[in-house]
Amino acid sequence: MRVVVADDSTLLREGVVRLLEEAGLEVVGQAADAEELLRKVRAHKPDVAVVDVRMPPTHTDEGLRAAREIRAELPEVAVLVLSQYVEVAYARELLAESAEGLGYLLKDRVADVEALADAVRRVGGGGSALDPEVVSEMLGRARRDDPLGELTPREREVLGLMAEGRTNAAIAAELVVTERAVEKHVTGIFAKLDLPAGSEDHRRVLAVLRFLDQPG
Amino acid sequence: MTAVGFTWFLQALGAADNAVVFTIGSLGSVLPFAIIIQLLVTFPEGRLRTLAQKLLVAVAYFVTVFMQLVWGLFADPAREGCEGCPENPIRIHGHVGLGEAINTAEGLIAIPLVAATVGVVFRRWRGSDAAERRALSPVLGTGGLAFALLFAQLVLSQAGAPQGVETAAFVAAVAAFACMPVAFLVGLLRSRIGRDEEIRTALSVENEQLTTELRAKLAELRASRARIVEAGYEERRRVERDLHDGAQQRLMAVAMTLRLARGKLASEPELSGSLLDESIEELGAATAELRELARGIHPAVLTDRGLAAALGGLAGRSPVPVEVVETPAERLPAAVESATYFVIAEALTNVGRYAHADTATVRVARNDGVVEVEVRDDGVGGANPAAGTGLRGLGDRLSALDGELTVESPAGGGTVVRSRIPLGG
Repeated sequence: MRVVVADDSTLLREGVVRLLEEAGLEVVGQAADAEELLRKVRAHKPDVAVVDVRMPPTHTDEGLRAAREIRAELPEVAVLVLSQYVEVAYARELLAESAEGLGYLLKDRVADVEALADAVRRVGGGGSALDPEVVSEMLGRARRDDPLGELTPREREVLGLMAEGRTNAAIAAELVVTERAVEKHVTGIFAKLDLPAGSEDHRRVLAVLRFLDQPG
Repeated sequence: MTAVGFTWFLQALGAADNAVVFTIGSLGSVLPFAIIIQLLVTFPEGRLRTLAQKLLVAVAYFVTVFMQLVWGLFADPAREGCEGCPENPIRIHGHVGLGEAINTAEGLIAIPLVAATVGVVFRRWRGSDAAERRALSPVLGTGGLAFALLFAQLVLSQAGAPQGVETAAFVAAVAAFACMPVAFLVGLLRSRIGRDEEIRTALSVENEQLTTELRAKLAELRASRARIVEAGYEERRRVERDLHDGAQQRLMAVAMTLRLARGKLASEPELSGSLLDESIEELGAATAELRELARGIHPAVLTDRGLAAALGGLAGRSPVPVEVVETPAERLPAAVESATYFVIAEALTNVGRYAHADTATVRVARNDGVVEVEVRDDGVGGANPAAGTGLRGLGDRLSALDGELTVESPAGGGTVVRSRIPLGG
C-alpha cells in the first residue's frame, strides 16, 4: 500500500514514516505543508494520504481543507487525518458526504504502531477509522431528538465501535461476547436505522454516517 | 414697555383739537400707569405670583380703563373750564357733578393704589436674593421713586397744596417715569449677566458631580484591572503547577524507567520489555495530560470553527449529559466568543464537580447587541459564587468587556449561571 505523509514537524513526520515502513507500508512522498501535500498526492496518486490538521502558514486547519480537496479531486485516494485534538465538529465536516476511505484520529495514536498501521490499511481498503474520543463525545451528549434513541445501550456501544472502524471480531473481543452476538446487534442496528440493503461494508459506513449525522 | 410708550403719547392727544382724537387721548391718559404697575410687579419674568400682586394689577386696570371710560361718558370738557376743548362724542349725559365725582373717586383710589405699588415694589426688592437684586434694583428703584413722587403729587393735589409745589412733584415723577425704560434695559442686561453666572454655578456643580462619578469609576476600573492581572498570574501559576505535577513528573518517570530497561536489556530481557511497556503507557498519559492542558488554555476549534463546534466538544466531554439548546448562527467577536466559551466551560466544570446533576442545558443567544448565556442544571444548588475563584475570575473577565455574570443557586433547586456581554459598536 502506497502512502504520502504530511506534517510540518520533521520529528513527527520522520517518526510516522519510520513506523509505517516498519509495518510494511510504502511511503512514496513526504510534505511539510498543504501545498506540497496536494502536489505530491497529484503526482504519486497514493492509496492513502496521512495528513496533520495544523500546518503552515496559519497553523489552524490547513490539513482539513487539504483533505477535503483531495477527497473532491481524487476520490480514489483515502485520507487519514491526524489531529492534536479531535473535535466532533471536524469529524462531521470531513465525513459529511461519505465515511468511505476516511479516517480521523488523535495524533497521540501514532505512538501505537499497530493501531496506526491498522487504521491506514483500513481506510486504504475503503473503510473508516474514527477516534474513540470522537465516538465517546458523540455518545456523551444529551439530546432531545436522538435519531439513535431506539437503539439499546448495547447496540449504541456496538455502533460506536463500528464507527471506530473495528471488525465484528474486534468488537466481540472488546465487549467479551461471541461474534454471533455482535452480528445480531449489527443486524438490529441496520434494521432500526432503516438502512438500505447493500453490501455489509457499505451498510457499516452508512451506519457510521447516521451516527455522525446527529444534531448538536 | 412698548405699550407704555404708545399709551404715554395718548396723553399728548389730549391737546388735540379733533374731538375723537381728544377723547381717545383723555380716556387713555392714565392707562400707562397701570401698564407700568404691571411691568414693575412682574419684572423680569412677566408673571404675577402672589394674590397681592394680582389684586394690585387688577385694581390698576379697573381704575385706568373702566372708571376712566365711565368718566368719559359723563365728562364735558367745555363746562369743566376747558375753553377751546372739543366736544365729547361719547358723552351720553352732560353732568358736571357726576364727571367730577368720578374724577375725584379716581384720584382717591389712585392714592392707595400708588402707595400699594410702592409697597409691593419694596417687598419684592426685600424678598429677593443678591443675584435677583442685581436685575431688580434699577427697575424697582426707579419705579418706586416714580410712584412715590406720584403719590406725593396726588396727596398734595387732594390736600389743596399750592399749584407750584404740586407741579414740581408731578414733573419730578414724570422725570422718574422717563428714566424707567433705561432702568428696565439695565435691569434686563444685569439679569442676563446674573443668569450667565447662575449657569456657570450650575455647570460647576454638575462638573463636580461628574468628576466624583469619574473618580469612582476609575477606582473600580483600577481594582478590576488589578484583579484581571492577578487572575492572569493565578492562571500562570495553575498552568505551572499542572505541568510540574503532571506531564513533567511523568516524563521524568519515563526517563528513569527507560534507563532501568536499558540496564536490564542483556541480563533480564523480559523485565526490560515490561519496563518499556510501562514507559509507553506513561508517555501516553503524559501526552494526554499535555493535550488537555493546552486545550484548557485555548481550544483551537473555537478559533477555527466558532462557538457551536467548541461547545459541542465541551458538552461531549462533560461527565454530566449536556444539551446545547441554542447557539448564535454567526460568529461572534473573538474576545466575546472566548469569554462566552470560558464562562460555559467553568460552569460545566462546576456542574460536574459539585452539582450532582442528571442533566444540564446550555443556551447562547444574541439579542439586541447583547450575547446572553445560560447554563442550567438540575442538581443540588446552593453554589456560592463568592467562594470559588473560578467564577469570580470570570466575572472580572466579563467586566473587562462591560459584561456581567449572575449565579442563581437556591439550595435543592439547581443552579443557573447567566452572563450578558454587550457586543459594542
